Amino acid sequence: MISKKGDERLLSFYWIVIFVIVTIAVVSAVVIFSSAPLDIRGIEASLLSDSLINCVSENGRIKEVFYSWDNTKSLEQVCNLYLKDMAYLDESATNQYFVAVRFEGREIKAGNDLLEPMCNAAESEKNIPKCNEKKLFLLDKEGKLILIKITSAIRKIEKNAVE
Amino acid sequence: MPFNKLKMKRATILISDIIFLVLAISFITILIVFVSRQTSSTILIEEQTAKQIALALDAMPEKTQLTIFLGEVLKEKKEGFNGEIVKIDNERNVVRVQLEEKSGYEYSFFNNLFFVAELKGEYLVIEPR
Amino acid sequence: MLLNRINSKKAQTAEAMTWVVATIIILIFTFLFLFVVSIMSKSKVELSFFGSGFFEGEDAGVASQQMLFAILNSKSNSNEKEIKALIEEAQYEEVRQSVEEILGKFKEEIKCNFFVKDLNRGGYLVNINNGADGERVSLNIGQMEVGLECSQ
Repeated sequence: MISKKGDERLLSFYWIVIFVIVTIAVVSAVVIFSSAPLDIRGIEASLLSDSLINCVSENGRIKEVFYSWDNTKSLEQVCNLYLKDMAYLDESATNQYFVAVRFEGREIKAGNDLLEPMCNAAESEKNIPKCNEKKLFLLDKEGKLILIKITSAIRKIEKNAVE
Repeated sequence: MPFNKLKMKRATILISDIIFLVLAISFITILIVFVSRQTSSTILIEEQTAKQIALALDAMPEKTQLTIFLGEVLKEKKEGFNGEIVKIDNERNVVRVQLEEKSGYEYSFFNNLFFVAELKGEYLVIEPR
Repeated sequence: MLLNRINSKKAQTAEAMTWVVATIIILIFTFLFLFVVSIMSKSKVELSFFGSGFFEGEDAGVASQQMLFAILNSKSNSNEKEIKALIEEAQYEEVRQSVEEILGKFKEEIKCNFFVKDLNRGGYLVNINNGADGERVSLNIGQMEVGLECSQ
């Protein structure tokens, strides 16, 4: 009889332990899931590349303005982009974006140059920007098809990758 | 005599069963309350909404109108908060979503069109001008 | 008596083993659950954004669209006519050769499928398949649907 009571107590204790384990598991799962940052930079970088494609081309041709590019022009101006992140209250607002258009040996860039080299860093490294590269062929001035590469990089680490 | 012992045994089993059930139900209730509070935390919803709208603005071509259903988001607005829930700041190119006093999440967008947003009932209508 | 004791001890051990196994199984499932959740949290963006049907995917086919225009506006090597005009004139073999040459030139960097489909009869008049897997874009030229699908 005593051992039966002892069994019952052991059983209740066991069930309490199991409950505690399951509770900890559920709580941990919720904390893991909800604190994981919502990282939208992949989509954002792709949309930025798309904006540049729409800016560089018209009916499958490279726009004339990109052939006569000089220091008086900027991609922000020509493509109606705002490459500053004003959610940052200091000068790092200007360091969050990078875009480049490359074709026929020409290179037209805007934003923070330092982001591009970090694009190929290993995924496991922290604090790297998210990048996107799109390639397409378009007609050049002479009606010949040439390859154009559009690169975009977005830093915005504090709002996307820091937990 | 044996009958009394049997009755006592039954009563003991019932009490411990009840205690067990009460504990189990309390645990499960606490879990459910905790999970639902965490997943619908205001800050998370503000962040999610701000980012969704920012992406939508980035993707928007000229001459289109965008309508976003915000019914679920509006439900999370805290009572007593009468400020603008979604604000598009065209000078700073930032979307701000705020559901309660002393809260709010901002996210920037790169599309430099001038956007006008109006909340019509549960729908947010955005148009570039 | 001794036998009884030994047997009851065996029974107790067996019972204890059942509990141990049960506990191990519960722990395994618990850790599996946490592992799955941590994997799911990495694709959180896809789960919350794509589920709502808001964004269908990363590539909206903007590049493919411009490339389709580029192909149609480019001139065929043999007779200097634009590919668009060749389609209108139903010179499909010429179209196929020219587009194959174009796509071949860029195949290291970009993979594309190209087709010309008769909207009335439903058959393919030109169908170049290079195994690309991307957003398909198309437009109509007369009674023909001309389409391109590219991936990088």
